[in-house]
Amino acid sequence: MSEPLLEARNLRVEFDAGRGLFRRKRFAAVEDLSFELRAGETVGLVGESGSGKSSLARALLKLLPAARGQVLWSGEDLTALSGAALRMRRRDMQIVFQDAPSSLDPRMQIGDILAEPLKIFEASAGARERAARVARMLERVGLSPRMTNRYPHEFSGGQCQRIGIARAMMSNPKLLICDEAVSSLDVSIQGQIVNLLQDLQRETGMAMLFISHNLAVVRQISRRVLVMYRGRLVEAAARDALFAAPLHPYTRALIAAVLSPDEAPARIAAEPIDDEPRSSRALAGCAFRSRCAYAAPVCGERPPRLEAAAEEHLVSCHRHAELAAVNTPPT
Amino acid sequence: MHPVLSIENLSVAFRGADAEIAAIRRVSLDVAAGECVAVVGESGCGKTQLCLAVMGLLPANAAIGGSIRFDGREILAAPRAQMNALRGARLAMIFQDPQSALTPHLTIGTQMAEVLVLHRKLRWREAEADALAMLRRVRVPDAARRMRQYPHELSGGMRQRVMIGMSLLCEPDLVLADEPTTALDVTIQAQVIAVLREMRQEFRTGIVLVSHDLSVVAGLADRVYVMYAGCIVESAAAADLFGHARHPYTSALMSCVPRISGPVPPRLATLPGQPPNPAERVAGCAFAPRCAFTSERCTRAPPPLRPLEGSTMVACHHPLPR
Repeated sequence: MSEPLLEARNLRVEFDAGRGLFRRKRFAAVEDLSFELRAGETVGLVGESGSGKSSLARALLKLLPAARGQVLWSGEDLTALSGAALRMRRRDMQIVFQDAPSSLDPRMQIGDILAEPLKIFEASAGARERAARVARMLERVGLSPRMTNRYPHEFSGGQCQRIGIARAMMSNPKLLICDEAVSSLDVSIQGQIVNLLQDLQRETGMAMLFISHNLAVVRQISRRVLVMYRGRLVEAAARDALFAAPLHPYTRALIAAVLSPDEAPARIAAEPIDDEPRSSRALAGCAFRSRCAYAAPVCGERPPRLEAAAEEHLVSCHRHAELAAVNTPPT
Repeated sequence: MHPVLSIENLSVAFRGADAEIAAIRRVSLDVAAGECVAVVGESGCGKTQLCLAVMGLLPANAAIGGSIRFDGREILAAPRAQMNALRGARLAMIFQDPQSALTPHLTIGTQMAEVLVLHRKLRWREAEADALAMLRRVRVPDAARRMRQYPHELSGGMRQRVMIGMSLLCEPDLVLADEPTTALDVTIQAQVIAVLREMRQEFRTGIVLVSHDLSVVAGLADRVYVMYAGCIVESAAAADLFGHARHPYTSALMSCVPRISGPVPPRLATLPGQPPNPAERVAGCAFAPRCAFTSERCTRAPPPLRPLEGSTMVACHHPLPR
């Protein structure tokens, strides 16, 4: 198999959690996380808010420092890069944010917002070439090329997201990270943006890391799906395997909690929620055990390791083999 | 028994610089005690303005017509003192963004207890005890500690449960919930809906659920009103609406929702175009430019809202077959 485009190895991202008596307390937003992303592949990343999805995305782009572990870009260690070298590397890796209107500088015209990546990454391009490429890109994302001298506030949320995508695409990235890029949009607009991303991906062959808490959208767009819980990867599998036969109890709970517009559920699965901040507890065993319907004594003794349950299907649960045998997964 | 909320022919317009902007056009709806009525539509369709009109929170430049009766009494032009006595006590609103709806410099306990001290004239200690009990009811874990915390110390889902608890403190007759689960994870969303379902049964609270998320609506509503460009284009009992939408707009919205099961389509269904500019007058049906079934008649005359079989009302010249 070809070398991965992007690889995280035992990545840890940490934040300050206030001062303790003798030393600073730290908590890990991402802990011992490893995964690979191949060129042209779309990988979905799901998990609840606070599970570390956005911290992972930022650490992959080195917008946040890695406390431990490595991020390899085509084999090159990004955590060791800095300054101009890092900046040039970022040409290949772009991000689209959830809150599109606030990710655009309100004082800049759309044309300038889109031309900026060219000024940084392709200094040789002249003004005329820049203008032509900005116009082409606007058209490509479904906006009128005549809009270049307008300001972000003149656009709707969906249009702002198209501008955010256009800005990210200006440097022809090899990887596009979408951090909840369609989450705040109306369902009618959400589909348009998802289709646009899928089309761009097919045309350019770029890889995509699609982060969302909307499982149905992730199912639409991804080839493979990663599930995070409290900073750790708990399951990773091909899309159809994950949705048809999830192995981790957390993944099952997530899928079971999705409501359908086709019917009113007779009963809503309201499993106990435990959204304690992570810093307040030291966990010996599995982090999910307090919410898990299948927790056994072993789950409190040691943390489960991520292991292959089937080809291309990783899961981190002590009991996944038993559970797969006794349970019919949700369909 | 009269409904707890009765809106008749409500119109809301704003005077813009060079045009009148119609946000709501002749909307009528009723909510019975213990009933959940959902108002569905895209951003800009007027659903939030509807909530603000009921709460008496529209800005001063809004021109309002029609009637809003709460518990049989007209509240549309009610004096401020009367509205203040109703709001928070018998009429409560859950906002989409609990971060900005909670007061950042007061602890959860203080801002919750304040509601009871103000409306129920309780002593602080009693009010705090009731607030704590309510936090437990809406399943806020470790409630005693949360009482002493500030909003920023809580997760988004927890803040939303605090908001819901706060709105229910005085056991209101009506709660307006404006996108109450939009910013939440699926698991927390399921929790919040479960809590709202319970509260409805327990207190007979009427709920107006405003949402663009049809899945959430399917999980909670008894009756659904679909709004487009300020008008109601379809209304029906939830059981009649889901799976049997009669208005092309409702049907298109439903087909846009990506599904969690079944075959994955190569592309998601979308609704082309955009809602009309509210400052422009439309001669015929406002949805006609985006509709797959438009005829010449649609561009000429606006369709009136009329009853079809069952509980369904629809404003369309060519409703879809059942």
